[in-house]
Order: sequence, then structure tokens, then C-alpha cells
Amino acid sequence: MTETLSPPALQPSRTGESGVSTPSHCSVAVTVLIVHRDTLGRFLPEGTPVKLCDSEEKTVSARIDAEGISRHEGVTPGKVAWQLENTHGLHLVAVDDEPLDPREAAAAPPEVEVAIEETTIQAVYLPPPISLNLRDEKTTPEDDLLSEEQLEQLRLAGNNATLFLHGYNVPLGEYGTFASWGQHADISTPPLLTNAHTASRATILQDIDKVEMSIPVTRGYTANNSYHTPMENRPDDFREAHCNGSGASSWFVHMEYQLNRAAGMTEDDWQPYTRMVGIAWFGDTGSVDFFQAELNAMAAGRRLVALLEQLNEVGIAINIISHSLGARVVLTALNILGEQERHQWVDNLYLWQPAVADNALVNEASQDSHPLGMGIFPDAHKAARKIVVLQSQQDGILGPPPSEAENVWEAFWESPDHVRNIFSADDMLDATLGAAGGAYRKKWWAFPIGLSGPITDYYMGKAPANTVRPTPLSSDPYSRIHDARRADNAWAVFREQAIQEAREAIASADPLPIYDLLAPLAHHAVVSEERAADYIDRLQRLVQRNWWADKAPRAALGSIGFSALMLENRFIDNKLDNDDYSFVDQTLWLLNHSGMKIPSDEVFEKSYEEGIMQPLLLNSGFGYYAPI
Amino acid sequence: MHRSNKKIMGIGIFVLILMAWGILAWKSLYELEPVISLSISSDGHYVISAHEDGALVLWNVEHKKREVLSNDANIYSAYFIEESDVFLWQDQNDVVYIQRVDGEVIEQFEHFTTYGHVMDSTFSDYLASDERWNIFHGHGNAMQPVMQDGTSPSFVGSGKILKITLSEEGRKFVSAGSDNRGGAPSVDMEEVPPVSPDRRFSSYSGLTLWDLDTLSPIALLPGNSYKLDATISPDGQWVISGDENTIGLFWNTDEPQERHRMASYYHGLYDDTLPEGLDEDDYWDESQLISVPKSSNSDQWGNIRALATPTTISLAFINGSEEFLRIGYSQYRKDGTSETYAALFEVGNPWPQAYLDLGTGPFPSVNNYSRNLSIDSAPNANLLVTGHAFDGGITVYRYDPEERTLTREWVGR
Repeated sequence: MTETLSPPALQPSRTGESGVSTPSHCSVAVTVLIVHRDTLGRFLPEGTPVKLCDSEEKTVSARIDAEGISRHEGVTPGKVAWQLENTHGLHLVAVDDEPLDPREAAAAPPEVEVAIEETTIQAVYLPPPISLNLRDEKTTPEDDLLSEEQLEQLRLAGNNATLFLHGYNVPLGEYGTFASWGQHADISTPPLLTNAHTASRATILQDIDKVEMSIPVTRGYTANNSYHTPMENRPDDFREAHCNGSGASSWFVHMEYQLNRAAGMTEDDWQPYTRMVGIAWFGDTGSVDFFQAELNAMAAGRRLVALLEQLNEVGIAINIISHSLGARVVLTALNILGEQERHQWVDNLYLWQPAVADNALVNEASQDSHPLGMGIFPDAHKAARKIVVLQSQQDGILGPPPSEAENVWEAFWESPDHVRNIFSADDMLDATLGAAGGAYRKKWWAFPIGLSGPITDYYMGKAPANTVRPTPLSSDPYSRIHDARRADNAWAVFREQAIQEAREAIASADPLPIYDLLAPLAHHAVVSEERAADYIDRLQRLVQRNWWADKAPRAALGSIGFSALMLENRFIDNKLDNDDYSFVDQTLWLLNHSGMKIPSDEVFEKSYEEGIMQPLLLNSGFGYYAPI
Repeated sequence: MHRSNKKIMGIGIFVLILMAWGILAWKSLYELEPVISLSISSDGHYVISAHEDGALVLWNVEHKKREVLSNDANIYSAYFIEESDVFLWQDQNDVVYIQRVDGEVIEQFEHFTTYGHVMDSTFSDYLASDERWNIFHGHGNAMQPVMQDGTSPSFVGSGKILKITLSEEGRKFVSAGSDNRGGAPSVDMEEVPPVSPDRRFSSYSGLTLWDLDTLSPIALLPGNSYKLDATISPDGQWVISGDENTIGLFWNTDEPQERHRMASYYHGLYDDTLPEGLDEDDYWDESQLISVPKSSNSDQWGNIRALATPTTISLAFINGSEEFLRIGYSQYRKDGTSETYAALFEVGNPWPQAYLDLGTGPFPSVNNYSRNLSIDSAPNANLLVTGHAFDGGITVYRYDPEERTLTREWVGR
């Protein structure tokens, strides 16, 4: 049976100005001072409105002053409760040194007894979440940077930043809503104060097993029985979306919570809770347009460089965790840093189920099997001290399980309903595509879109006619010769345009110029004229082969790790031997591509704790958690 | 149909059903579940194994027979005591037995549920690990912690047993778990002693060399990455290690601060003392490299795969204290690309000397780190024994030091 609780009654500091303690029945009205700080010791922003409700349900509002104090006068002695208004992510975690569960505090704000003429209450809140939106078009350089307040927050929280980048097909989404007291399984008594909308936005993870959102059972028979309508809890996915949000915001909430838990935070005390830096990028390009998502990933990676520069400049240690195609975002940024000889800026890079080629981290671009040269990040390794790949051959997206490589077509066509949803980043399709050999392997398929659609679309209006969109060859042999000559001429013009773009970019001396025709090479800081020409040559060959790549995609790094590379690549062999690269083979416990978002106990302990957090704490830092 | 034909058909079906039932009954009674831990006697005559279903089996290698001794064994508890006919095991009520192969129980005592344990031939040094990779010496009131400095990494987290190997001759032992330090420097052993129960992340559960007499750490042996296996030579002179991240290392126990690298199977030894800027070839010494066996077919990605992998699940001395096998972790793959070749090394020599095939039929128990105790050797008898990946049998291999070959001596089922 679940034990039900009323909102916690807390004992405030009872030292009045006179030093005399007065029984509550003797007081007519009291003054309540609330000192509002975050867990990093900073006063909450001046001017923040605070609504206080007393035992007679009278509202006494005040604003926080420069010393972090809100002064509420004329309060009836007895219990009071309060909430902040117009704030984001400042969740209450302690009152007068008593730790609180912020989810419960949001559902039923804690009630404090006030009795003497002036009562001071110490309130501690989580600092706000930090995220960066690299999806929207940049209008000012500051769009890609953290604010001074956010930098200060990271400095105070251990002088380190852990960045998280989500994977493919994740929309921006939004944060969830705190369950109200009536929906909270652990709270049975109506609180003095119920949360206003502005205080109900949840930027921390809620346990949906403790949330009851009852609705009438409408299947079949309720209309005839108005006296007893059966009720049932809303489905898990509904409660999950309601409480923990959607899209990138949902990923941030989950990952941040799990990282804190892995670092040692317990449910009893949320004060050590550390905010990571969530990076949202435009990877939701539609259900099958993986290539466009790769281009977007590289564009976002180019923008990410500014943030890394900012953090490095102020001396904040950087650790990065990416999921799936988020690897391409971060590797683009690191490749650019590496090319610019900015070495070892990142302490630890954790690539979790990276949807990049298994040879993405070799140091020679010549080994790239991508038809357009987008597969290898040859200088990325220079920018990180340590790179850890967390891989699983059973993740269902990145490759087939070891002994089930056969019957790909059979499995694929057995589930045609799922083909439509082929790349939605959810677990349902992990299983479907796992049986079909993994979706990643099909990224270069001509069907249904493969490379042709996105590239053709991208170059619409940019490339000369008869290049990426060739005119059908005439049946007349004589005309065909002319067609071919015309196409050759068009490609020569296209090549010259690309070279000119490269030339102008070099001449601009901008360390990170903006490319248009050469945008698919965005993982290079500056594209040389030779590389520009080579790129157009590759593109021409691809078009001439009717968009069929001459090589199959390499296996995904997130599926097979480095296992196939050790034989052929000395660089990888040496990196592994020196522990600069390492991998965590999760094949036996990570059984779907996004299994880390809501981890099993096994994934939590094996991957989060031992694979990521333990080495991270030992050789860098996550907040103030100690590596003991 | 004629009535007599119907009768015959009916009898036939009945007989078939009876036969099928008989086969199923025989299989369920006789077939063993996969081995989780095993140990071979020093003379190579016996193997004791604990199986997934709790069966404890004594295998007579000489006479190629087996006997099920119990059906409620702790699956991680099969261990033969060096130079004796005595083995250890624990039942599922947590009673540890010191038992001879003839069935005589020399001693029994209650203990915590062990996740790997060892004992010396005088029965005076008993070391056991729990699921959080704490090590204790002795039992009952005499039990004392040896390593108790955190709950992570652990068996629960890493999914492998902390391997403890003894060298009675050298009066040392090593423990090998998982090195999750990610290149962070080792701790000062005086500052952070091995018994620090308040800590959460252990500093000693990577690879540690211990003094069997004082039960104190002699040295932390860092350099491996994540799950690792290690063993000490019977004479106590060498510690050898390998891990899931392909790193192979060795130490002479007289100079534990001197770490030596095993050569890459594919590219030889990298000299990182040379100045930067040289040609890539200049850094690599391939002078004593031997060719690695490769698959004749490509895998599903079109790769030709090496059939020996430095991703290590186990190391085992196979010829006294002179030679050892480094056995790779591999999944079974239908396309013939499973990495079942073990690398043969000489102590003190970083170069692989040969690659010896463990075979795929039956596939050895090299596909799961939680079964890392299912591989053992009798160095002086030149025998290696493994469990099977998919059935309850064992395979005994004999190493020929003259020819440097490994042959299957017995497949017991």
C-alpha cells in the first residue's frame, strides 16, 4: 500500500529582531522574509515575483530584492507556502537546510509555520537548465553562445560543462508539466497553495509511475451507468509526454537526471543536481531523409565550434555526450578544431550509439568510402583527450545482430506498415529495423530517397542545369553525343563555381567561412580548391551512376565499434593501445537504439555509471560530484 | 482403410510419441546447461565445473567420464586447489565445501555468496569476492577485508567475475576486474588504502598485485581499459593482462612499476619515444610480426576479418611459467568470421609466437564476459579447458610445447 503524505511542514528560523519568541495566538500579523538562493549560492534574480499564501488563504506578494530576499508583510501567523512566478527551471530543493523532493514541492509547495513578528526562511532552488538551440537560423553571433549568467552557473558548478547532443529525427519539443497534487500518488491532502502555470513547467524528470491521471473508461458501457463510471490511469506515453515533455527537451530531462544519478545523487537530496548543456539541432528532417539530416548535423557542428571556443576561453572543462547522429554534429565541430590545431579542448567525448561510419575516427581522409567524402573526420581526434564509443550490435537501428545478418529483405517487407516510419527515432522501429539489418545500412539506398533527393533539392537554383538534374538522354545517338558534351560543359562550370567559392573563402581569411555549394564539406574548417574540385568530381560520378554509390556504407561505429578496423588501420590500433580511444561493448544489455533514454537497471549501472560517469569524474568533472 | 492397418498405424504413432518423450526425458535428465565456472586440477586429471542450472560436475579427463555431484551449486564457485585433488565449491545455501575428488568433505563452512573464490594448498589462505568485488580473507570470525574500497565497478556493473589468481610459489596473488579510470593517475596506496568502505568508486578493482602473506597491495598495475583479465605465472614472476579494449600488458613482479606492452597482432610495436613528424612507418616495429589468420569469407559488411582478436576475455598459462595463451572475446558468426584463434606468447616477450585455433564446433565459451571463469589451464600439464558457448560441455585442449600446436584432447558433454 502506498503511504500518503500531506505537504511537509517545516520549522523556520524563529529568531525575531527582538530576540523574543512569541506564541502564534498573540500575533496579529507577521512579516515573512524568504531568502532565495540557488544551489550554487547565488541570490535569485532581483525583481522575481513571489506569491505567498497564508493560513487564511490570503495572498501576500512581493518581489525579490538585490539581496535575494522577498519581504511579505501582514501575514497571518500559522502556515505559509509560496511559489516563484515567471521563472523557468528554478525548482525548490531545500527549505531551512531540509532537503525536499522538488517534484513534490512543485505539486504541493512546502508549508512553513510562521509565528513571530518576523520570520526568516531560507529557500534553495536548482539553477535553471542550460540549453542551446542550433536549429533556428542564427541572427547574431550571440545566438550560438551561452549568456554570462549561464557561464557563471557552469563556473560555480565545478567549472565544467557536460554537453549533450541528441540524435536523428528529434524535434525541439517542449518541457513537461509538474503533476499537480491531485495527480501525485504520494500526496493526499490539498496543499495551501496550488501551483500557477508559470511554476508548473518541469525541467527535471518525474517518475510517471507516481502520477495518476485518471480518465473515465469509455470503452463500451459508461454511458449507461452514471453512478459508477470506471476510471483508469492514462497510458504511459501520455503521462510521459505530459510530465517529461517531448523532443529534445524530453531527452535533456532524462539524460540530465540519469547523469546526476550516476554521479551519486540520491532522491533524498537534490541539492547536488547539476545542469548539463543540452544542444538542440535540426535533425528532424522527415522519416527517410537521413542524408539531409547529415547535412544539418554538419551545419550544426560548424555552429557548435563557437560554444566550444567560448567555454575554452573562460577555462571551463568540456565533456560531451552524443547520441546517434548527434555524433556527426560533435565530430564536425571537433574536426574543425583539430584542423585549426586547437588540441585537446575536450576532456572526454562519449559517442553513444554513434550513427557514423566505423572508420569515422581514422586520421586519413583517403580511407573514406562515402561517395562525397563525408564519412571521415580525420582531425577530430586532436581536439579530444579521450574518445569513448558506446556500441551495441543489438540496437536495432545501426546494424544487424551478429548472427542474424541474413533474411534482410524478408524481414523488411514483412512489416510494410513500419516502412513509413522507418527513421522515426523511437523504440518501436528499433525492433523492426533490427530484424531488417538495421536502418543505418540503408542510408545510401537509391530507394526511397537515398542521396538523390536531398542533393538535388539542395542544389536547385544553385547548380547549373544538366548537372545534378541531368536531362534524359536522347534515343538519337547523334543527339546523345551533344547531350553528353553539354553535360560535361555544365559540370565544368559547376566545378569552376565551387573552386571559386573555395578561393573566395580562403581569401576572406575567415577561419570558419560560410559555404553554399560546398556545404556538404562543412566538417572542414576551410575547403581547399583541390578539395572543392574533388567534391564536384565525386558528385558528378555519383550522378552518372544514377545516384548509386560505388561502395556500400561501412558498418556503423555504434554497431561494431572498432573491431573491423584494428586489422586494417594502424592509427586506430595505436589509439586503442594508448587508451586514447576506448569502447564499451553494450551488445548484451543495450537492446534498442534509444535504450539509454529510459535505461534499464543494467544499462544504468553498466553504461552510465561504469562506462561514462566513473572515468569522467576521475579525469575531469561533472558538477561538484567527487570521484569517491 | 483396413482395421488392422489402422491398428498398426496407431501403435506406430504411440511408439513415436513414446520415443519422442523418451528422448526429451533423457535430454532433460542428462544434458547439462552451459558452464559458468570451471577449474582444472594441476595434474590435468580432473575438471570441476558449475553450470547455469546449478549443477556441479566432476569431469575425469583421464577416463573421459563425468559425474554430477550436486544440483544446487553456486554457479561461480567451481575451483580446484593447486597441486591437489581437492576442490572448492559453494552450495546455494552459501555453505562452502572443501572436497576431495573421492567425495570426502575435508571442511565446510558458511560464508557470504561468493562471486569467485580461491584457496591455497594448505587450506590456510581462503580469498573470496562478493558481487561488489570486495575481497575477503578467511571465513567466520577470522574473516577480514582485503579489498573493500567501493561498490563500483563490480560484477553487477561490469558483468564479469573479479578474477583472483594465486601463485603459491611466489606468495602473491592478483585481482583483475575492470579499469574504469580512463587514464586518471593511480591513487597513492597509503593515502587511499584498499579498505575504505566509505568510498563508492574503487581504486583497486582494476589490476592489483597483492602479497599473499601480508594481504597488502604490492602495486596497482594500471594501463588496461574497462573489463580486463589477468593472471600471475605459477612461479609468481610475471603478471599478464588483456582487456576488452585490446590492450595487452605484462609486468615482472620484481619491477611492478615497469609496464610492458604486448605487440599489436596486426601492426607490431609502436615507439612513442620517437620525435613527432616522422613517417608513420618509422614509428612501427614490425620486425617480429607473424601473420594473423584471416577469414576466407567476408562478413556482412564486406570486411575480411582477422580470426584472432586482441579484445581479450581470458589469459592462461599453458606451459609452466614460460608460455601463455591470450584468448579473444568473440561472438559466434555463421559466416566463419568468429575470432577463435588464441595468441601464444612467451613471458617477457611482447611478440605473439603463434595463433592457435580453439575451433568453432563446439564454440568455446568466449562470447560472454560473465562466463570469464569458464576458461582455465593446467600449465604444467599443458592443458587448457573451456566451457561451450551453447551447451553444457567442456573442451580439453592439449598444447605441444615442441610443435607449438593446440589439439582438442576431449570434448566432454
